[in-house]
Amino acid sequence: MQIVADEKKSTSGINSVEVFLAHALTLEDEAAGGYQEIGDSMAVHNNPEVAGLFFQMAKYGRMHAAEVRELAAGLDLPHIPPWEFVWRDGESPEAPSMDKMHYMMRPAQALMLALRAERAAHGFYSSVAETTTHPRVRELAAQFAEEEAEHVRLLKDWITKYPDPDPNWDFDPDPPAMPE
Amino acid sequence: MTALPDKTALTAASFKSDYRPVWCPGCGHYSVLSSLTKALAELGLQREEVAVVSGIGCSSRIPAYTSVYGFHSVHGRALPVATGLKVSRPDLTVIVTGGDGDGYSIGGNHFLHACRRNVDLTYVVMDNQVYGMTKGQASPTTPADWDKSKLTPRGTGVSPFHPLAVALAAGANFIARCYAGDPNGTARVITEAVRHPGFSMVQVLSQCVTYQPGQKEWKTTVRKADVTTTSDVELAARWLMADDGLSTGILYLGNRPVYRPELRASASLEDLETAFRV
Repeated sequence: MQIVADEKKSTSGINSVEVFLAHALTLEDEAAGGYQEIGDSMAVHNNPEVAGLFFQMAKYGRMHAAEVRELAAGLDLPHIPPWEFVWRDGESPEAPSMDKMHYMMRPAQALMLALRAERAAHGFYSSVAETTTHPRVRELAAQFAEEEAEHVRLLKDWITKYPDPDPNWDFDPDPPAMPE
Repeated sequence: MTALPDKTALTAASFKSDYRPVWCPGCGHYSVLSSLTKALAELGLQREEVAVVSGIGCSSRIPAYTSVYGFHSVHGRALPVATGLKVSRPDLTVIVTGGDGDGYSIGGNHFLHACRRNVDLTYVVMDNQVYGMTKGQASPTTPADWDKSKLTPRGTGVSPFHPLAVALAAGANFIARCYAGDPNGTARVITEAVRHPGFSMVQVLSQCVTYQPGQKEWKTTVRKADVTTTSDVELAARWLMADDGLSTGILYLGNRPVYRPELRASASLEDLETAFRV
């Protein structure tokens, strides 16, 4: 409950289409960039299956960013320094969390990470829809929240297609990092 | 449609190169790279107006991952290289990057004198309290009881180095601590560090998930400093010495004169040669 309250407090100032789209564009761009970076990292560490999943998430993120750009065409979006966006905890909600990474992570774990990010994005848009005083912002935010909810449903289905990771999923008989 | 500081500004993404970082997944340095590129975008700089200079180590790979001028120099020698660059090309924004081992041990003496000279540089130290690239040995900032390395099986038994207190005592003009788990907050501090004249020291707590996995706990233990930024050296010193090293924020803003050497020739080549004639 505290998280929802904090989210509402942080988003209550989004009362123009331009400010809302500036947030949405950054949210989608940072999601796409984050997934691409993690995918690259997994590819470098020879985990092609998980890398492929993250690249796919990055592709979806870029598609969503392109949709937001289309909506923003002709508008003069305000410049907002990265630290002045009204994200609940200071960071873009859909940017995947790097601290959950492991070079041997399994697909189900990768998708769980994406699921957390999509839920956070849904929380952000839902909160804007509830707190804004601007009718068009409310309409757009509700639409985006519904799209994120759909992503959450898709990811939940997707996760069921992969087995839970083996209990020793992170055992590496020849670890690249042996303290000396 | 634009969301940039001005019409000619570049995005943070455009300050990243096409090279894929080889850091371990979960490494804090990814976030620092993101913070650095966001700061460069926020400063409204063009690529050719910036140089990133580093030493050796995991974090010192960062120039390759940016699209600005870069110099991946010698172990511990990033600061003298950057100093030479800045005094000869004062028009460039010069950012120095590296780790705790590179900066405080191998390059410790250069660190002291870079603070003292107060050349207009921004030094971003990604501090993970370990030598990661060489497989996990204790560094100057490693806690005394850290016993995970075969070289120090009972810990180092030596008090860790206190980089910000040393920087303050040596004359750094801007002192801040950040956390890689707060990339946007770190971007803000780097932006302000570059804007502040003189030598800016930015320590970033950047977790090493491989050799210091306990640093994942920083997510819950690192917090904003309960202190107002000061220009009072004594106050800053007292606060720094009492702090546990996990508080973040801009702690000190000095106003010492910046070292800017005279670049005009003071003697002709002919005059100089006169002294060597036999």
